[in-house]
Amino acid sequence: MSRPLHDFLSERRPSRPNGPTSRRRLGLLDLLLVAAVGLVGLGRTPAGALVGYVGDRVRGEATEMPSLTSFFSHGMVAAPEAPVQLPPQAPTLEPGQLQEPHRTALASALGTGIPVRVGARLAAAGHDPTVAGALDWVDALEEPDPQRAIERLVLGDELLARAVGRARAAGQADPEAYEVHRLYLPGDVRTDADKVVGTAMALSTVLDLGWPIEGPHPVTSGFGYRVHPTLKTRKFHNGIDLGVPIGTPVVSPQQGKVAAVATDKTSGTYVIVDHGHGVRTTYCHLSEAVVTGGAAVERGTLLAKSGNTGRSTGPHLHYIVRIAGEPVDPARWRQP
Amino acid sequence: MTLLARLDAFVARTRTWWLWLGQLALLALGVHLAADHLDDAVAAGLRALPLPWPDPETPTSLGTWGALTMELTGVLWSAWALARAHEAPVTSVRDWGRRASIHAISAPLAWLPLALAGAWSIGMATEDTVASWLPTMDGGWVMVAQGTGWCAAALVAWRIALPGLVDLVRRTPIPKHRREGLVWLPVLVVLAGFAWRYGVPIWGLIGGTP
Repeated sequence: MSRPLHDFLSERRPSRPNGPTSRRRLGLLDLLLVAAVGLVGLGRTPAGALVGYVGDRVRGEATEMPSLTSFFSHGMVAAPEAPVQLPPQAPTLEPGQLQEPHRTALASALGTGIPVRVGARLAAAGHDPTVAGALDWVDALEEPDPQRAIERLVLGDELLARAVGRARAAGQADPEAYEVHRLYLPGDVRTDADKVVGTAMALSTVLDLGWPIEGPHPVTSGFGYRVHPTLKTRKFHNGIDLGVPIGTPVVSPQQGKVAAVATDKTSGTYVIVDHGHGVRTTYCHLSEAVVTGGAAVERGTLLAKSGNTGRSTGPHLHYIVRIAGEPVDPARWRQP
Repeated sequence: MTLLARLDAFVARTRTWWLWLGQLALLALGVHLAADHLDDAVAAGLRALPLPWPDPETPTSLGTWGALTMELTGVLWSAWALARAHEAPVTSVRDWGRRASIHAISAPLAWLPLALAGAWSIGMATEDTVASWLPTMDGGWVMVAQGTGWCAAALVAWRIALPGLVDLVRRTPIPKHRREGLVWLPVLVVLAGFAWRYGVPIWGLIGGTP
């Protein structure tokens, strides 16, 4: 043991004199404060988790190494953990007509990720309207920013206001933005809110997707398992094939940022567009890419011209929609 | 001796130990608050580099692991610095000058924002706890929760953070050489900088971002 540490550990500082009662009370207050700070530190920091883990091991209790990185909250809204399937058609509900049951519907749509506190708020008896109806309810909040509306739904006005107030007190540049004020939410709420808001935003984003080809065209191969025309094996088709002649304009179905423009032997020339909130679209077998990597695109921006490059049996566009990295059927999200 | 008196004597006798643990926990909270902003900054910086990342999430992962490494290093430093602050108190500026080193200067300067950030974390946790007990969060109840949080933060800063700061200044060890503490300096500068910027709620109160 190093000398300073040894000295420190063996030192017996003069104890607090048994002086005035007020001084003893201060000592007790200190002890209580230290206990509170210690408990919070143990529960909310990676170092605390490590101490807890070591303590468990010393006591001989079987335990797993804690995930130290899970204590970090990222500035981006979390993407959903799994693709969420919506019914292809849903009735539209009028603003003002939608109350608690629609929150319940949204809760159902968001699947198992509903936290207890949010679930309690959303829990309501009654009929079970569609998910699209619930998202209409979000629109009915008359918030210009849909993410804001979803936050109000998930967090409630009071918690939202407190988080924004804390971010403002800390002098954050954009305290109203979710990626900023989420840092000032209570830790347990933040984790749940990330999941729910992230999933809801992914849903909103994917629901806003248009279609990359204008005008009528056939779907030559659908999404899902099929016998691959080239490999002759049963293979998962992660997108949809649109039968269009070489040179057909391919447009962005929604605003976003070009994440990649590249060429390989399988996909030929391809373009990937990141629409945010975990939603990406990919366009393969192109004859020519018009955009470059990193470019910002709007809905309808010309991305490329379709082709027959890579492993392809004829001219077509292979269109992929991914939510949180998982491919979903683009046809389900096609707007009428 | 009554039980109460024995208890009182025990608490007083062991004060050095448990206060040290409390101060370390407070620093751990402050360091984590700083590191929780550091990871985003590192990830954003990496994403801005024109590098072909194998996976879009790679910068985020690198940012998180980098910040975690910095955080654990910061906690180690806290334990080390607190363990060394046990010398006889300095009696004059001249006396302190004999002990001056990089560590003697950087330790209090880093301690202040990190401990205040830890105190604010406690304040926010208190506010959240109180809020969950209140019947509503309308009107005056908001003030009750927020006021309790600020009081808790102030108490912790006064009773736990301040004695640590005083010890770091007054009981700083006699250095073997003036460069002592240089190896910790980069970590302290980064963590203390992020703690000042994001962990001390003064920027909004004094009228905007720095």
